[in-house]
Amino acid sequence: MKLKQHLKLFGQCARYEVMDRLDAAVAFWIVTGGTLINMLMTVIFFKSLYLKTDRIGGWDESRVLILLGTFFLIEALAWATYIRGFNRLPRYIENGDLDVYLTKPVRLRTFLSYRFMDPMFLWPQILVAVGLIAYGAGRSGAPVNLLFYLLLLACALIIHRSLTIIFSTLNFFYIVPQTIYLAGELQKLGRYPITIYRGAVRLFLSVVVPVAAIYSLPPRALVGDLSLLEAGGAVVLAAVFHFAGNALWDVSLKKYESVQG
Amino acid sequence: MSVPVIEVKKLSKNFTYHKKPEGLAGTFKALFRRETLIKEAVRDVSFTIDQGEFIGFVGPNGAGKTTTLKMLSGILYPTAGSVRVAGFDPARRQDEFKRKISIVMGQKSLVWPTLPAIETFNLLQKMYEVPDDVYRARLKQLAELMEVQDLLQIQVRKLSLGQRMKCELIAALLHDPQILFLDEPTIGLDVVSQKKIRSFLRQHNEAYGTTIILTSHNMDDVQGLCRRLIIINEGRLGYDGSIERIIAEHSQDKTVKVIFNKRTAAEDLAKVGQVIRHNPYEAEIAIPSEAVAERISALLAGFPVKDINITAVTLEEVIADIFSSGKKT
Repeated sequence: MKLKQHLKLFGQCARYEVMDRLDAAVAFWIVTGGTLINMLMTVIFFKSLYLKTDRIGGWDESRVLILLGTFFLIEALAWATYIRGFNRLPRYIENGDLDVYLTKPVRLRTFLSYRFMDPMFLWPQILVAVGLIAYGAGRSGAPVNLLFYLLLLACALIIHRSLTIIFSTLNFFYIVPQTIYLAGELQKLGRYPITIYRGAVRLFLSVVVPVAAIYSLPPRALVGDLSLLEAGGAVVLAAVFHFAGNALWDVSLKKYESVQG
Repeated sequence: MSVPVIEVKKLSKNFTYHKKPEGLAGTFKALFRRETLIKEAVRDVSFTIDQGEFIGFVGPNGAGKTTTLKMLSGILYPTAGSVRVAGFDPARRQDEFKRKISIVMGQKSLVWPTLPAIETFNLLQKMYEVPDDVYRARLKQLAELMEVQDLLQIQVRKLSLGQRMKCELIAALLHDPQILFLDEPTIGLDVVSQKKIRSFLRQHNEAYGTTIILTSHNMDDVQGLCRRLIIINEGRLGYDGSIERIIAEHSQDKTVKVIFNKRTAAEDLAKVGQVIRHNPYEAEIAIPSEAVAERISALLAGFPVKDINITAVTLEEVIADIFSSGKKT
C-alpha cells in the first residue's frame, strides 16, 4: 500500500477516534489528570535529588529536565499512535479477530500503528513535555540544535515502535497480554540518565533494549553534547531495529492460527 | 470453456496444540512438560471452482470447512498442498489479491460498532481506493437493495443483528470483489432477515457474476442459493457435485402421507410399501422412488384415500443422514 493511501487512512482514523472520544469527556479529564500527576511526581522526585547534588550520572538538572521531557514526549506520541493498536493484538489473536484485518489490502503492522490513535487524550501530555524540554534547554544555557534533536527523536521513536512490535510478536507463539506492559516497564528505565547504570545492565540497556538511544541521545543532541559518530550509531541502530522488528513480525504472522471453527 | 478462479490441490492444514493434565498439579507439571498433539484439520483436499459459481461448503462442526475457507482467503498458511485464488497464492497476502476477495464472517464484525456504518464504508473506500463517484453509486445501489438507506447514519451498535449483517455485506461488496467468502452469514438471524439476505446474495451473484463460497449449517441457505455442494467431513472432501445429485443418490425412498375415509389395516398397506407409521385413518409409507407412480396407483385403486401427500427428501435430511451415519458420499 502506498504512503498516500496510509496518510488518507491515518486522517480518517484520527477523525473517528476524535468523534469516538468526544462522547467521553469525563474520561478525558480523569486520564489527563492522572497523567499530569504522574509527570509532576517524577519531576518532583528529580528536583528533590538535585537539592542534595549538582549532578546525577554526570547530568545536571537542566539536561535531566530535557531528558524527562523527551521521555514524556516519546511516551505520549507512542500512546497517541501505535501502542493502543498493538495492545489489542493479544485479544485479536485469542478471539481470531485478526482475520478481518488480514484480508484487507493494508499492511497490518502499519495499520495497527494508527488505527486506534488517541490524538485527543494526549495533547496535554505533549504540551507539558514540550514545555519541560524548552525550560530545560533554556536553563542549560547551551546553544540549541533543534534539527539535530528532531533527527535523534525520530530515531528514538523508530526504536521504540520496533521494540513494541518485537514484544508484540511473542503473542503469535504464546498469548501473553502483559508483553507490552513488560516492554513499557523496560523503557521506563530510560527516564534516568543512562550513565547511572553500570556494566552488563548498561550494555543491556544500550544494545538489547536500547533505552539509552531512545531517551538519552536526543537531549544530548539538543544541547550539542552528542558527537556525529554517536548520532550515526543511533541512525544505524534505528535502521537495524526497524528491519529486525519488521522481519520478526512477518515471520511470526505466518504462525497465526486464528480460532478453529 | 469456463475458467477456474479457485484451484485447490492436495490442501492440508495441521494445528498443533497441547494437552494439559487436570488440576493445579497438572498445570504445574505442564509448565515443564506438555504433551504436544497435532490435529489434521484439513487433509488432501482438492477441487476447482469456476468464475460465477455459487458453492455451498458444508460439514459438521470441526470438519475443516472454515479452516479451508481461511486458507483460500489468505488468513491461514497451509501445511501442505497448493492454492490459487484469482491467479494469486493467498498465503502471500498480496494487496492485489486482497482487492479481489472479500470475506464475511457471521460471528465477527468489520463495521465499527460505536460509529454509524457510513463511517466504516468511507474508511473502506479509502482502503480499497474506490473512486468517489463509483463508491457513491455502488453504496446507493447496495443500500437500496438491502433496504438500509435510512440506517447508514445510525450508530451500528444500535442496529438489530439483521441490520448489522446487511451492513457487513455492503462493507464486503463496496470494492466489487471477484470472490466472496461467506462464513455463516445468517447465523442468529430471524427468518425474514435470512430471506432478505438470501435474495440479495442471489441477485448479486446473478448480476455481477461474483463467485460466492458459502459455509452454513442452515441448509435453507445452501439449498436456496447454491447449485453445487462441497462436503467436508473430518478434514476430507466427502462430496463435490450438484445438490440434485446428492439428494437423488441418498433418497431411494419417497415418503407418502395418506389420510383415509374408512379404517385400514397396516398388513394391507404393506403391499404398497414399508409402513413407517399407521393408525386406522392415517399412514406414512416409504415407497422406492422408481416405483412411486405404480404404487400410488395401487394405493388409490385399493384403499379409501381421502388425501395424499408425497414428500421429497430435503437436503437437510440427506446431510443429517450422512453426518449421523458416517455414510460415504
